[in-house]
Amino acid sequence: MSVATSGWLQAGLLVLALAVTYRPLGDYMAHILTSAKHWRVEKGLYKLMGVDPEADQTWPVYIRSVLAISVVGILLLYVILRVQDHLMMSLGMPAMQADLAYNTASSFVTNTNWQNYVGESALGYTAQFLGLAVQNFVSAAVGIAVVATLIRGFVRTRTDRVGNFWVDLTRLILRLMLPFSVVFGIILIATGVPQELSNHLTSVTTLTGGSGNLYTGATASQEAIKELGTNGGGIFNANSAHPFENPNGFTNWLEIYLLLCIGFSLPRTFGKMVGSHKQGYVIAAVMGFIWAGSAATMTFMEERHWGSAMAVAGSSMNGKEVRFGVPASALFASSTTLTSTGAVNSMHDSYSALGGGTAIFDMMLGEIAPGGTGSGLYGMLVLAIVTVFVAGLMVGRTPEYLGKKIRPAEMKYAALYILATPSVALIFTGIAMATTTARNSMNNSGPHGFSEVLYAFTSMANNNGSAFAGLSGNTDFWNTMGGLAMTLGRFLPMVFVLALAGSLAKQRHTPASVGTLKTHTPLFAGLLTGVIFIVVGLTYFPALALGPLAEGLK
Amino acid sequence: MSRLPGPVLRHLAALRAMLVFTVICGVAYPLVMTGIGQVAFKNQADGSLITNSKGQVIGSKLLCQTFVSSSAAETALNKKDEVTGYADPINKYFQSRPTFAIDSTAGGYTIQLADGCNYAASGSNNLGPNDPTLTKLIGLMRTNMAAFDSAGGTTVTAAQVATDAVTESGSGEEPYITPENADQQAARIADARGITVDQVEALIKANTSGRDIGILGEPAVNTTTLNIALDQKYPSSDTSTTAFTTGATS
Repeated sequence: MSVATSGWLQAGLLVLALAVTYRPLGDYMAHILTSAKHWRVEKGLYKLMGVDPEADQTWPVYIRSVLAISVVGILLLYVILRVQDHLMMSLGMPAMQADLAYNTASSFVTNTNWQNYVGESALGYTAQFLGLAVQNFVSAAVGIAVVATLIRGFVRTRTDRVGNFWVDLTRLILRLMLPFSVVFGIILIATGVPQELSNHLTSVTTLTGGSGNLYTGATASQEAIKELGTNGGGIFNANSAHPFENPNGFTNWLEIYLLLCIGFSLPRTFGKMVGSHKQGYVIAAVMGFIWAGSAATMTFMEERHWGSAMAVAGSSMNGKEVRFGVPASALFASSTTLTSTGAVNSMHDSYSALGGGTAIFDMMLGEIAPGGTGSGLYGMLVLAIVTVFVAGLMVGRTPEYLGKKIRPAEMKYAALYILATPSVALIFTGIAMATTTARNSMNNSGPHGFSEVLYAFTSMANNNGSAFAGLSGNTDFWNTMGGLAMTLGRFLPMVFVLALAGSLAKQRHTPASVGTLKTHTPLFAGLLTGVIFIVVGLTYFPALALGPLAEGLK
Repeated sequence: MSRLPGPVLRHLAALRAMLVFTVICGVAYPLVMTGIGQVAFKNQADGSLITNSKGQVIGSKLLCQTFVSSSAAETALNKKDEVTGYADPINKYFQSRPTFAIDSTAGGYTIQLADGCNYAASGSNNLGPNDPTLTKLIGLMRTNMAAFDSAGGTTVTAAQVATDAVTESGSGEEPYITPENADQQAARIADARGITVDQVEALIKANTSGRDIGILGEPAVNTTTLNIALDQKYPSSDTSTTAFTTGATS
């Protein structure tokens, strides 16, 4: 079988698997977010947390709860990393320095998982478990909780209540993230991902007599939630390129499925909750269209392998693994940058100029196809609001979406949402390019060096976490500014989404009339896609022109 | 408690929630997973380790090993600098993919085979598609490998060298090479060990994994298990190496 045929079949099997789980997984998440019944164990946990599960929160209370757990999370993680050398089962790893610990704490709490450290020689079991694993679960669930409030904003009428954060969070972790991680984690162990807890590194004497220590780690448990929760922070520096994190073609495929499955099923949850599955199909179709386009573009660019070094090599295999080959690497790369995962199974820095440029563009889209757990869908819904607004302008009437009027207040929140992330990404890129010490971190020169910087802040502001990894990020500048970019890029948009949800929930339901733009039609899907590309294109084109386009089109 | 101001209460609830989730997701989850893994899939859970007849761990079948001149090999895993023969491969072993790393004395990226398979720091060179140094090093690897693999009456030209033999993997830990790369190295192995190419080819075949369920991933030859099988079946005391041009300019 040719490489191209197997590449198509791998992608086809992925689409099939996502299509099969779309309904059950989407319906299940809708059930989690709407059910009136608490599990007994959940009631016990609410008592331990000291929260009232029956209280319905207003949007300001809800967002303050989100921020509270995030602040506490950052502080706890920071402390754990700073005192690692005093914790048990740390494998003799030293404490993390202050700026790096700040960066790492912000990174994992914001679902970014940008890593300025080499995992296998920086973190022991305790920091991985108590610190990182916990945030992998919590940050993923927070994203879904936030999109749940936005959906409730459309569903509910004349109320200032948008849900209970503690209930949403607890249920999403207990009923969704945990059981899925256990099942898929076991599959990963069975197929070769290590999971062990010995209190020392395995000493190895190689065939030629060299000796050294081997880090195996409790990798599978981290790997499962890393992909499922679109986190992306690996045990190893090489992330999912490392044979322990991703041993073979099957695990590679499974990891791509895991990082896409929640994002692609959430439109079903949305459709179910707003009472029209067609609304969900439209969103899923736009996500699928953009994802397929990106994967095809990236695969094409990598197969053509334009570039002087690639021409001598005869392929784009520098930075890619033989057991995956080009198609499975490109499929992973586009999926990870279109979600907020940021795990990598190949080194994006060594991708062709336009292949790597596609990865940057994917993140610039705001990670909405399908995006991070929850954050992808709320990004897409904000763009849908912008779309009905644009369409409303054309015919000169007040736009509506799902029976809610899009008035100046809603548009302000939507516009602020759209502006927040690009502002962080572009302003911080500008600052870095104007700072000599920041520029010194580049591994490559010329446009490719600029692409490294642009990629870094686009990735951090969008909470992706993948990198053009040549950039030496472990410096005062990058740790500090990166931590800031990730925090702003995560929580500013969330505030605007919650405000939008609150504003929508207060409205009464407006019945559709003849003049209402139907939002469950292919026409709307087309309009939405157009708006996405126009908004992103206008925002980022100048920056793209200086980096990947300058390198790829010369 | 209830007399405390709202923000304090909220952060206390957040702290208690974080502690609850730390116990569930940070303690129970990884421990349960480790338990299941250790009981049900002991070999995989331990990292697919390979032990020799004396019971010593000699590697993992998922990770590569460097097969370079012995002086370099001694220090390879601990990554000590300034060892001579850092890029000189041993003739009788299959070579996994090359490593391009920064050589502090040369002041830039050079070919350093002994620097590969460093279990304490995975990763790649991260050089871009148009990088002049990378272009040069890949070109050097072509001529290096062509000379290296032209043995036992077989001639390999620079243009014929397999693409994965001249490029670094993403992880720097990958034991796998393409079947084309393995075939290209077979004549050299046979020559160094005094066996026939067919005998080598049979072992290559035994250490090749196809695509999972027929479509996932790419066929790959595991150099770690293949070299162990070679040493077991066709032991050889030959320790000759071939000098590689490293690209160091100083």
